[in-house]
Amino acid sequence: MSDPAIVVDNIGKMFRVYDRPVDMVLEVLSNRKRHRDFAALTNISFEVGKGQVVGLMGRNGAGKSTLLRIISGTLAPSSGAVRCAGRISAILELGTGFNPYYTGRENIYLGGLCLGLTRQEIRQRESDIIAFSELGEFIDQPFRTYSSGMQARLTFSVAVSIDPEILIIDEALSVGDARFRLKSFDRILDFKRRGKAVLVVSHDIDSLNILCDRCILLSRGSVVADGDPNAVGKCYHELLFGSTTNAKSFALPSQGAPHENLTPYSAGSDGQAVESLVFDRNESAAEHRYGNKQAFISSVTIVDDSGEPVTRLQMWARYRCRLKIEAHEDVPDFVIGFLVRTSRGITVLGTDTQSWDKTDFPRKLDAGMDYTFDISFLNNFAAGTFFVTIALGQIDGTKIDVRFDCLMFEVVGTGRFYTASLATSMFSFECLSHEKRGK
Amino acid sequence: MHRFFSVTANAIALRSLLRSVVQYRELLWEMTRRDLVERQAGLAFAGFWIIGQPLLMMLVYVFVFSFIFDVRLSVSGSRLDYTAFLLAGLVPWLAFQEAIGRAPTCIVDNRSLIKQIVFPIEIVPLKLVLSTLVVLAIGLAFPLILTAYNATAKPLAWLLLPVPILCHLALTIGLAFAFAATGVFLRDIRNVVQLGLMIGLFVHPILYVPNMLPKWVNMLFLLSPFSHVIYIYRDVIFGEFSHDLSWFVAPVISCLILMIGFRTFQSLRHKFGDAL
Repeated sequence: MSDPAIVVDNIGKMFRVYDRPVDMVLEVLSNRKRHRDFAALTNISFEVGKGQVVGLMGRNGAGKSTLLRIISGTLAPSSGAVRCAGRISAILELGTGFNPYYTGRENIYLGGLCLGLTRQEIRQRESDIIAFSELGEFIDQPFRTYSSGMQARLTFSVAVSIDPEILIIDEALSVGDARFRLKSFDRILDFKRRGKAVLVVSHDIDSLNILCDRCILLSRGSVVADGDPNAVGKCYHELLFGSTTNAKSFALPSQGAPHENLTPYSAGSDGQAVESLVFDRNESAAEHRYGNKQAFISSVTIVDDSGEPVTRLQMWARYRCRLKIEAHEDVPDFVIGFLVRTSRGITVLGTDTQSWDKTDFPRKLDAGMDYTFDISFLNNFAAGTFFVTIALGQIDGTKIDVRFDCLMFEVVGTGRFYTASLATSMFSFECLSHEKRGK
Repeated sequence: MHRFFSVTANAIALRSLLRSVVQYRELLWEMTRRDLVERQAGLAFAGFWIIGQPLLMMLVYVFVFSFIFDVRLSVSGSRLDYTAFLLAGLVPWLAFQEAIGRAPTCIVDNRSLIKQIVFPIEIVPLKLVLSTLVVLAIGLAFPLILTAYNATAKPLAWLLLPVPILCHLALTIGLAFAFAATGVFLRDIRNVVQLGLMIGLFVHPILYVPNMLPKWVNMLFLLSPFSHVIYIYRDVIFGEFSHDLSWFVAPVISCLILMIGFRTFQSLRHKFGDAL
């Protein structure tokens, strides 16, 4: 592999917090510490190769934006170093380098000059930028009058127009409409094909799954997981909804398909080990399991009409997903969730018992009891491989046992649907009339 | 203390400043232009506030000192002589005041640029100073016209006008850099600077006729670098070279302040991100 586009080498960022502004002056004068340190980032190391799209996940305040600002060069790290090969274009907030009182067109010039283009170069790109942003006649209106989606469109259009080696995007895409999102996805994938590096922050796991080759999960200023987007996405899910927010809990052993090759690595070169998980692509669909273990989902199978377990499903046949649950403690108001996703982690379908309002269903799991549940469904999935996620939780959101991608099934198809199809339906084509025109 | 005056460090700073000016000349030009003529932060008449306001101030000072106080350069001197004399010092001062007054907040005001993109931030204090060139050019025309009208003009001396203007620019840019950088961390700088500028008008040889003042006051004026700049402006405009010392001091100290100011700015700039 050629040299990486971005090398983040053991970055740390400390912010000094002063209680009063005067403390800063006194500190400079007296040489005595009068601030508290706040560690926003600690021992962050990773590389982004050319032609790689890397997603950054993490809860609010995890340090994503700080990290992006350091990489883009607008913030100096307290320790460590960042090396970037080539021109960087960063969208850190809406309206990068834009003046809200100028029109869109004036901002294209100002933004382009700020990003290092000459007037001549901007003139050449102006019409492309306007066309890509689809702002049309609004381009001569002041920027502050734009909706946030329009602002995002113009910002993105200008940022990609300079044709950077490295593109950094901080949640700017989330406000665009679906059409623009698709367009910008295309543009990002085009960047990737041309060997550029892209770094994206998003809270939308599905988008990152589609877009990224790799994801990095940050928690409290450290990298806790790095690797396949789907696998890291599941860690992020646990971080968001799991009972503990401790990174160590990712090492939770799962009964179905344990992460044997789950290798914590040392991110700190100075021997100060920061445990984080590394996933490669073939672990994408490996089961990820978390929960407070008041009850266990001990087995998940799909059975056909005769009750035989199957993994190859016929199109349009009825099947049952059979769950065995061992309750270790009393679980009132429990909910069972059922989710089907693709191998890239894109949700095809999801539902839960709460949504179906079953009256003949037990309200509560009793300690020491074993339960068997059947989820009956009509197989409308298209030919391909799918993964079942079963979640046992409570109405208040407590997660008891969540088994991401615990079961794989394959749908054998008829040749009637395109191969990229995820779902099917019964089709019939009819010709309602045919008569000669022009009478 | 000696590192302030280190020749190599200062030379390197000057070179990097010049390089950045050359590299971003279009951006600098664009930002200066917009500062002057366009809707700066929603002002309807930005151009007026930046050019009209100093011109109006000139008018007020001229009216008060030349017409109400009726100050003359000498007993037999004319009213217009003093007006030309006053303007020759007042115009550079107003341009200086305009730039320095805005310097402490200029980085904070442009924080959206600094936070989001790798922006050549040194452009911001530079454009502040450069946009006052218009005031300076328009303002300086008045004393030149007045001396010409009085037939006291020595137009050949005017060829030296770039010297005081360059000294003035170097001094102002240097101070603007220093205040811009420190103003990011300590917002009080703005108040200190404004107070200083208010007092500054009265502790520089601007309003006063030199032979009316006690000798020690004239000596005291020499302590401020800007006094020397004013002296050489007057020498050029009136074609009477009576301040030999200032012709030596003004260029040297202006360049020194430019380089030290820019180095202060450079040493603090990587911390701007933390404070904004």
